[in-house]
Amino acid sequence: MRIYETTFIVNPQTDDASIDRDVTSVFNLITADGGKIVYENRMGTRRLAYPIQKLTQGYYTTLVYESEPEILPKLERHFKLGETYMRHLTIRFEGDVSKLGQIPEYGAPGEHTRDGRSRDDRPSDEKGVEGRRSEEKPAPEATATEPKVETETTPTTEAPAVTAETETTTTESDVKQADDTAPIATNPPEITEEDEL
Amino acid sequence: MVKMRRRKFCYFCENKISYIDYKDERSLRRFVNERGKIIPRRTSGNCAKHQRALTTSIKRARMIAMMAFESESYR
Repeated sequence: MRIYETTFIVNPQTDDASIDRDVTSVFNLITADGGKIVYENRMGTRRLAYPIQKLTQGYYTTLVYESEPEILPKLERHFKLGETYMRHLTIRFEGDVSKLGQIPEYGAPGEHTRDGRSRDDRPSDEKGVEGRRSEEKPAPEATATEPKVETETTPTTEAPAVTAETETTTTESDVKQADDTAPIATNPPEITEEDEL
Repeated sequence: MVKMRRRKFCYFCENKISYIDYKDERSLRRFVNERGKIIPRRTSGNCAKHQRALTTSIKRARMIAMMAFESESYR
């Protein structure tokens, strides 16, 4: 028995019932073969990073299951025959099974998770603009945001107001972006050094 | 100037992340440039072990359309 993880995308343009049928048919295929589903996550319809079959959205489902390797060719066949499956990916699961419930934020304690969320909360246009801006002049920003770190920690503990919370998230992301750009800023001198050597 | 050139440290070692999930597209995105290219180790400062894990994760994310293979303006 091995632990596998399969993520697949179902065409979202069919009705809900047939999406559900497509997803549960995969479940059944695994369990019928003596496999045991450890974790399931229906992420639902999300945007694709690039169009597949001229569609820009897809219905994502992730399954982690324990099964004999014989299941894999059967699954493969199932995905290939079913025309509503847009993509599928099966890997050997190497993560920590006990942390599975925390997907997709897992493997991310403390600062990491908060950054991920605060960044995602903002509209994508804003992200792009800010990202580019910080790249142009990273050095002054890094120094400017540093004092904010100290002030940021105190209000989060005592501020119940919604406005205060939003304020802190923005400062966090600012600080993070400054961190992002810092290594890039330091990079050029190092490269030249290597070249000289 | 010398102070600014501090030793870069592996993001995953620093945050004690043992498993890099390919579905966690949000955090993978910081290791990819605007074009969707994977940022090299010499820039990101990641250690070899984690950079290897990171590359496979990014490539997997690309396969299931969570990240772009290439893009004019990603992010």
